[in-house]
Amino acid sequence: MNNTITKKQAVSRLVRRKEKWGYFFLAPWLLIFSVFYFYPLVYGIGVSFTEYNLAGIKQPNGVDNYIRIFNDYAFWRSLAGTIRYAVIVIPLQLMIPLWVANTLRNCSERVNTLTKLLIYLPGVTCSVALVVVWNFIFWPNMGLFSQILTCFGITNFSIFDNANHSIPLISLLIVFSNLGQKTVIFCSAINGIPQTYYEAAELDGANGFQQFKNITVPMLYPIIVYVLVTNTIGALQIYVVPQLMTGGGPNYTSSTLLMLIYNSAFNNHQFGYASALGVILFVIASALAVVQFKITKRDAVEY
Amino acid sequence: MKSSRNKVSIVNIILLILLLLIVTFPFYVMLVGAFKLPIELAKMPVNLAPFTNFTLKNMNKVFNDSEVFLWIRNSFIISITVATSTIFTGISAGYAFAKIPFRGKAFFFALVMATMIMPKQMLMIPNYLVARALHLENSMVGVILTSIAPAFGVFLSRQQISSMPKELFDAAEIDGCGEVMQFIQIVLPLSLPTAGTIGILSFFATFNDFIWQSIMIIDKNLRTLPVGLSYFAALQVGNKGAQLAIALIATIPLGVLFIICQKFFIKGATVGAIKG
Repeated sequence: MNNTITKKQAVSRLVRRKEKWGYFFLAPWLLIFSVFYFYPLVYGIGVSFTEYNLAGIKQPNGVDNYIRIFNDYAFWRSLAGTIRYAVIVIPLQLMIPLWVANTLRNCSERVNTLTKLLIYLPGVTCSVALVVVWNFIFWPNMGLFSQILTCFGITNFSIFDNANHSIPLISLLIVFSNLGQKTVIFCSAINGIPQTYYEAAELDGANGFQQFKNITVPMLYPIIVYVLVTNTIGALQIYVVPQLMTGGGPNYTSSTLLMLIYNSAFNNHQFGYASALGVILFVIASALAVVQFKITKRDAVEY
Repeated sequence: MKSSRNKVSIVNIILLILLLLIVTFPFYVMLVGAFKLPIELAKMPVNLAPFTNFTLKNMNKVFNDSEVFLWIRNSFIISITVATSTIFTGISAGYAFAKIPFRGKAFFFALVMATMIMPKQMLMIPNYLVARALHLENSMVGVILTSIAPAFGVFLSRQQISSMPKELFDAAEIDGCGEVMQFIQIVLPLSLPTAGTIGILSFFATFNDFIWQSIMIIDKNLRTLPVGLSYFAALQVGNKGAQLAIALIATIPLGVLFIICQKFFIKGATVGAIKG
């Protein structure tokens, strides 16, 4: 009897000792997470209900920032802009890598390696450097693009003067510089599909497209969902390329929410307003993240 | 196993080549334009033929009028420190999550998952205000501390440490090895490949993090490569030769590193997407 109690005590002492080390090893991460992630999140919500200027003077103003946001045409234009970039970027960043990976399935190892290398290269290049090149190519009146247009008799045309032209262009540039990671994901997923499925389909006379539609796509369903959601969250963060190419203009028509947040804070010094915008963007992103959790929890096709 | 190679249609091959040409075209323009006089780049038709009218004038301008080596040095210091810190916080927390029972584990891991999905850029403004309140604004230490990735390393390490055999840890325990010794003698050596992946990915992410660094850095001497590059490009707005030259210089360090470390990217890309 006595013996059992001491054993229990010993076990619980061991568990407690282990637990202490658990927190010990967790501590560095927890510290960084709390100070630079969780606390700013809470703090940002607080600041969004204040008037907060550059000098750091806070003045509570209730939901004024939110009311102002919803009456601000810059917000609605930036929201519309975010969606307009997203509807081009999200599907293309899914379909092109999927197509590339499916094409590479039947290519030699060397073609695979080379394609992945080249397609990944813009993804590891500083986007500011890429924008410098693009701004040169699309230089109004002077650049390569304008010169090609001149050959077709179109002169005095600047693609940045109208968001109907600049948004599709910038979206394509973003897509072409972000294909690498997704292509690699699809390649390794496709390699995981048993070759026998394709062989069986071939015996039944299925052509390449039928194999793609009836084997590849269903087998990759969870990965497709994953890429779709990462694309969506990535699209909410479009900032550097349009900021450096159009600055969001003319008159916010090519702006995104993240650009508006940045400009409200660092150009207009309205930190309260910018924080409120941040909260709105965070809510949108969280909603999408919840959807991701719900969908990816569903079990994948097992093979 | 590639059984039949004849199935790739000619159309697909042409489209693939076309795609690769589009993707690599900016690099071609950089490489050629950096060594042409600005006048060649502003004339009609623009001279983008390789090996003609070769000049080093743009390169000289960049080296004389900018502090590109200082920017590269700053970027390397920041990125290497961030990568190292991300590795250690990641493996350490990953070990706790994978092998040590403690209360609240599920809750903390849910936080890791949530952070994985929610990008830091969304918290740009409050993060800046907190950094400013802590006097971390406009300092190297500040940029480093605020750039440590909070989730990715933890997630990857936990996955990998979970797959280490339990017997290894039991045996160590019987031999009187405490948690710290187990961490140093078992977890760290076996985590080297994972550390490579985490390190390389966070190194590149930090190196290219233009938006956060442009917010945090004001001081001229603290400029990083992306920040300095955008500053110099704006200054030389009329001189396309100098712009392309600095774009090329900014691309070279990471381009070379990428080619050397390719396999880490292939491994890192699939984290979170594919089980195991």
